[in-house]
Amino acid sequence: MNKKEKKGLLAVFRREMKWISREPSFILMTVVLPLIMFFFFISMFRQGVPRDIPIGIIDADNTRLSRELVRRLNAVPSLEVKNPVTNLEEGRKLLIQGKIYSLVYIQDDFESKATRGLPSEIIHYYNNENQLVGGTIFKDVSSTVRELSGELLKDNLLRKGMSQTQTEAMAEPIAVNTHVLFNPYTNYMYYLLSGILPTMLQFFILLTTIYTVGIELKKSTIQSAMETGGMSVITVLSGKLLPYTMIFSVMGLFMLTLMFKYLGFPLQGNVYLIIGATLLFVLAYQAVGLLFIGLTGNLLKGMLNASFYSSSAFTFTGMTYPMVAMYWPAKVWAQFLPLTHYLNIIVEQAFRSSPMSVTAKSFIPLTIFLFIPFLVLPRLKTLFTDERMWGDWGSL
Amino acid sequence: MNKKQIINLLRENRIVSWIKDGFDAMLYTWYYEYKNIFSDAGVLSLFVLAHLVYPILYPIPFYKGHDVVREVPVAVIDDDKTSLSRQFIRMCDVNENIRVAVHHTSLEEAQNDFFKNRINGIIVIPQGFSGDIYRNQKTSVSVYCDASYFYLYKQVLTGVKYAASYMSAGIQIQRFQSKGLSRPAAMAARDPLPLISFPLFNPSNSYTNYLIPALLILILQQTLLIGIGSLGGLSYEKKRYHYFLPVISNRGGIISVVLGKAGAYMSLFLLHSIYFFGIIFRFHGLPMKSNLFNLMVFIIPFLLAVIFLGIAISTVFRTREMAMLLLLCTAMPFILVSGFSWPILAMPVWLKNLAMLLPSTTGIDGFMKISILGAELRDVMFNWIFLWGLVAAYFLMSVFAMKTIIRKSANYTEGNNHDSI
Repeated sequence: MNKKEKKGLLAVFRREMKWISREPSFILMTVVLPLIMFFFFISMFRQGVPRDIPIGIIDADNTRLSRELVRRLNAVPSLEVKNPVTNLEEGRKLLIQGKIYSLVYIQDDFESKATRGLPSEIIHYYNNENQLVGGTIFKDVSSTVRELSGELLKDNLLRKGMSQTQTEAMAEPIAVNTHVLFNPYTNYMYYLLSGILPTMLQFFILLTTIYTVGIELKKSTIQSAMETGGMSVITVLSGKLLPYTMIFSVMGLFMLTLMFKYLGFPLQGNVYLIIGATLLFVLAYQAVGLLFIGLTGNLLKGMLNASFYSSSAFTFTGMTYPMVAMYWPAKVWAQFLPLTHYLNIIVEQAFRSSPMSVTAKSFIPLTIFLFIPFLVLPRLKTLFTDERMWGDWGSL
Repeated sequence: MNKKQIINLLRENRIVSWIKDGFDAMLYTWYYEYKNIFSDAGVLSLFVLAHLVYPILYPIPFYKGHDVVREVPVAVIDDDKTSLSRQFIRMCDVNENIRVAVHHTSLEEAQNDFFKNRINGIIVIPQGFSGDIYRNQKTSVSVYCDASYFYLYKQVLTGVKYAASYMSAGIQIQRFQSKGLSRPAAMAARDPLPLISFPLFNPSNSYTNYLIPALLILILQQTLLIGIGSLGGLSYEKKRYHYFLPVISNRGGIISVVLGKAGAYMSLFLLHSIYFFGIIFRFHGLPMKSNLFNLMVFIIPFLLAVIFLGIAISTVFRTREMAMLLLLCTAMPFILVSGFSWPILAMPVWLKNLAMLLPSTTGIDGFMKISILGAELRDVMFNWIFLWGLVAAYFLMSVFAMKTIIRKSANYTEGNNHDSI
């Protein structure tokens, strides 16, 4: 390095940029891997809702009515009737092997019972291991059967001389009208992807921050960084992290473009709030990264702790399993993850268009994260200046 | 001693000594690998500490009794205010899906509570609700819900529909009875095709029943991959690969190296497996529908496949930390392609095929079937054989990769090889 180079924030920034351009692994961590992950998850969830779930039917009756039921089940977009199943034992095997997800058993007196006005039971076994699949099957099979049952009932009543409106009221005295307020297409791609993409991004922001500071401690190059930065910890850290703030902000904006432009997620609220939150999100995770370096004092321990912190984060945010149902320590822990607050803002502003007063409640904690590094500033100062702190601390 | 005997003895000796040398080399590598594992804080945390902490802390949100979403709070707007509408509200409240948290008079008020996350659904009972029922007219209630959160949406809708169909049944029976039918006849007439549903494998809708088995398999795989990767990075960093140069100069010596390493990892992870299936399962109150023998028979090819894959990948890394950095981000895509929370059914074909290369995909599927669905080994025969196929393929890969990097390490002594990945 040229000794006559200027000192200060810009010099550290330039030094860091040189590092990034020279080391392919930095490009990998900041740009290539996040892009691969975005592409991977988008192609994974592209289809949106499960379609053509294979189900098996034992039609022991094989009459006009039973065939009608089979036809109707097959017509449901989410279901697909596989080759006929002959007996329960075969059906059980297919269910366990995962070849079918549901088994509908139509008994041999199905039509004759129904015509004699007796209840003709249909037995339905379904795989509820995955609740997304199980819930879809249950909902669609039940509504198909209920519809047919209702038609039979109405036919019976009409034959007995009831009027059309009377039979309607008899078949379904209380109807439930469903209004989906938010995410009206009930497309789970929206909510899963809007949670998963930021989760991947937080990984890379957090670990890159720890890596770029920690590696200087490990390789004892922190001294040259301090000299370039005029011996000021704040200058050194700002200059070092600024390139990543810029790269990850661009990645974050690219992520938003993918979500709202390319995939067409609903955007009910204020897009500037979402953009602002994304920039805060990048800064918040850089701040948390500094906290980890400050607390653990070296690259290895910092990364190990951060890996636990970031790889479990998604579960705690409540995007899959709702927060209201969680055990209270988990609810508390979730508040210490910037991801939780960021995803709240996304849901509130993108899907719900919540009032500002509500979203502010998520902005405040996200901002508080930015001040965290100041807690460990004295410790960072020692780390950066005391030679005894440098080197590889892994060996026992 | 005649000539023949001497020749025989020599031939025998060469094979015997070759085997003996190979075995010695394997044991040496095995022991040496233990030393590497137990002398590095990073590897040790991944190989031991992670297994103690992670399976207990990760599922904390769903700790006993919190594994089912129930009693989701909803708001009620009762525009009818009659005994029938109050009866309907009571029916909503008593079923375990939802609970009536608050009463409102306008939709705006209720929506405000929605934004503040105080409620997750709104039920509106229109004016004339009871009047319609008394006049034998069809009536309706409205439910407003949020499909952004799948579980809450499902709970609210199920809860209201349950209350509506329960009350409907009562009304239907009364109406039939007023037409002169007996009570049993009325009950039969109201629903000609009753559907009796049995949710299998996870009847209680428990989230842990389905999360933890997948999670445990994934923890085994990821800690192995990252741990072995870190050891590879360390070997490069601390210039340790060339220790094996004399071993691989023997014919087939590389196999001893790979098997020795695999033996060290395998012994540790078999212990972890027993701890996972024996203790962690019980800790989280999971039903274990299999015996330890079946599980072990299934877990062995899984662990071997992961280990050989890990050894092959580990030769790429130049530092311990880089291995962690690049492998950590794989946990989430790996668990999702296994079809764990997003059904495999809804994935593109190329992704399904690519996912089959990961031991976790076949492993999670087979392990779920054995432990939760109560499948026998023959039900998961395909998975088991497929895993052995992966073992063979990754073994060859690891032998090749290991040989290449050890040969390259001959350059170590000469100088700088500081390109880092």
